[in-house]
Amino acid sequence: MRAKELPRIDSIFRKNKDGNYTASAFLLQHMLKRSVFLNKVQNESNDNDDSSFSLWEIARWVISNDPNLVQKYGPKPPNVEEIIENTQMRFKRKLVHLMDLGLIQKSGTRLQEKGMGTVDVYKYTEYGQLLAFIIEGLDHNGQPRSINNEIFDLLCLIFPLKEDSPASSILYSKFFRKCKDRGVFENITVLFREAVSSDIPFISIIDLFQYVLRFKFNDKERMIYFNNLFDETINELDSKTKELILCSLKLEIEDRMKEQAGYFEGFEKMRFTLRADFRKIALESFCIGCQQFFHIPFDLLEYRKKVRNSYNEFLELTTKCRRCGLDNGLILPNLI
Amino acid sequence: MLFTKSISSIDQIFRKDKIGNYVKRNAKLSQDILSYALVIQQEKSNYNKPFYVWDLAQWLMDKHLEFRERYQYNPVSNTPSKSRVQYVMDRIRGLLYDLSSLQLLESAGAAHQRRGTGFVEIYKYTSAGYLIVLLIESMDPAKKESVANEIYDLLNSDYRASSSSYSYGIFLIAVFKKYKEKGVFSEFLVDVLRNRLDSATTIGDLVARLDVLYFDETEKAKMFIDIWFQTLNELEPNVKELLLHDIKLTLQTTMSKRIVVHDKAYEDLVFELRGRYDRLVLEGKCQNCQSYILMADDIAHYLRRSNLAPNVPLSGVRCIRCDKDNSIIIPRL
Repeated sequence: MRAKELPRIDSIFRKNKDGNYTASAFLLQHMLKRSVFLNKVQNESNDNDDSSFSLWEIARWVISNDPNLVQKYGPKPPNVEEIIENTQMRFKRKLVHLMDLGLIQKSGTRLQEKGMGTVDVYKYTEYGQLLAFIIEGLDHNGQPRSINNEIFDLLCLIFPLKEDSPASSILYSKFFRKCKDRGVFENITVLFREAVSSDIPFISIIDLFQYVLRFKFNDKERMIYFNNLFDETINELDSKTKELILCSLKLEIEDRMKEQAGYFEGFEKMRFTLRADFRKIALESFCIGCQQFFHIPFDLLEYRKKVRNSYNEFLELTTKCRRCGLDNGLILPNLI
Repeated sequence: MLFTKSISSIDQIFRKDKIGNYVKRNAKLSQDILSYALVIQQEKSNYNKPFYVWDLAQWLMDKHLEFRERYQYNPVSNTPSKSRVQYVMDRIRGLLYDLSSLQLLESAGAAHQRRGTGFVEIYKYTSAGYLIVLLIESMDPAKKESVANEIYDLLNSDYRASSSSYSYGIFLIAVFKKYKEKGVFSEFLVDVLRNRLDSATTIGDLVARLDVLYFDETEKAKMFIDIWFQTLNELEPNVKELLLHDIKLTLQTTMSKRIVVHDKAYEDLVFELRGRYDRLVLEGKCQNCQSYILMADDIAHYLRRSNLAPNVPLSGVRCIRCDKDNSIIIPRL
């Protein structure tokens, strides 16, 4: 008997010391990848039938497609029913794990093929399908256009443009469409791929999105380009949505500042003073002239621009210290 | 690439499977490495004095059951002590690295080899590491009370010296004192921390929001809430405001992650109340029509309610969908 694994997205991408995925990660990946297969079958047959599946159906597919299991049981094992019978607890545990992560959900019950009872059936959530296509992309050198298109379509479903959609959904939707229109959407899928292949400990799918939308490209040019595009999208939003987005970005940045603050009292007081001002963020800076921390209000969009410029010019993120007057004396943290 | 470390989170040091075996092979060894802090504390009167890895390894040869059993019988029982230590050094060094990544230990620089002219890396325990050692010790009922006193002293001095918390630290120092005066420090703090050991990833998770706790037993919940309000009301007004604002930000973030109907209405309400440091936006659920309903609540009132009547519908609040009275339940965040 095994203890229940804590549900974390990075469990799907965990690697051994030799750099290969663990057997558990590989199994989870293949359980998700079945959605790519289902999608393909549906596209080829133009069939929009119910795509729900039972535990046995997913287990049967994974046993024939997960290289570890193919190696263990052979490509077309004659006794597949027996293998499923013997491994169903493991599949069940993994299924629950993916459900806890919001990647698969229970969609109902159906009559057993044999017998009089019913079995639970499941389906992939939009996030589950998205992750499946990202995993599918890991297997290809250079992402095929079809996978990029599928990822784009899924992102449009996840972030719908409706009147009552949350502001973040409106922003992401408009941003991804802008990327697509300008022919640079492929870079976003590259970021997703790099993120899941990195050693960053992602707990939820939201963490993964938050990371991707920080545009941490290795290439500075691209980092600047996408940050500009993101801010351009923010500035094109209607005023109410923009206010909500600024408010949420402010909280994100201040939360990161909280983790780094060297003198928390000053930061906490400044954050409290600025709590209602969604255009301003509370920052802790350090003056190399005065040799002390200062807690300052900073315009949020101005700060984002300053961070971008610092990438461009390979400069330190600095500003003038009002106390000692030293130009570029005040070092600001990079919280983007 | 995400390389699997032997121990990469605090819970891995403690988690057991259903039959009581540690999930991670090195879990017990990690606990024993941490327990060496007690030896340092005893010998040097301070747990954070540097130590040699060799000394730790030698101590583990007697203390750690797996190492002891390995050399019990012939022919290996004649293995010289030095060879025994050398055999496990890589494993111990690996774990010291893992535990340092978790901030339970830290490098104390390099020291002269005892034999030879070179230098070797030495380590010391952090206060976080020592806290975990004390929590391990507190599992022994005979030591529980004396260990609780040590934990009190440790946390008290940590929060007094800390510049990484302000209102939270002030509140905790005051509330710990009250727990101690009422003889419930062990129950309200040590037990809480110990229960978090097999779920906390980092030391930050372990000591996160010790001011927002929930107890299911009525008497305990009542006592906690009494102490909480007494402490809150004795704070300086500006510290009280800062603390409530800090709690609001944490709880609101949790609510945002758990919200079922995430639409503009929720964001609008959060935005509208952004200046109110003491008000929180919640998504309640109607038990009658199963609809999710948005509402705002005072943080202090919310904490009292979630402790004293967690599963009782809000009285006097009507569901806007089905119009039924007393049917809305609010979540524990």
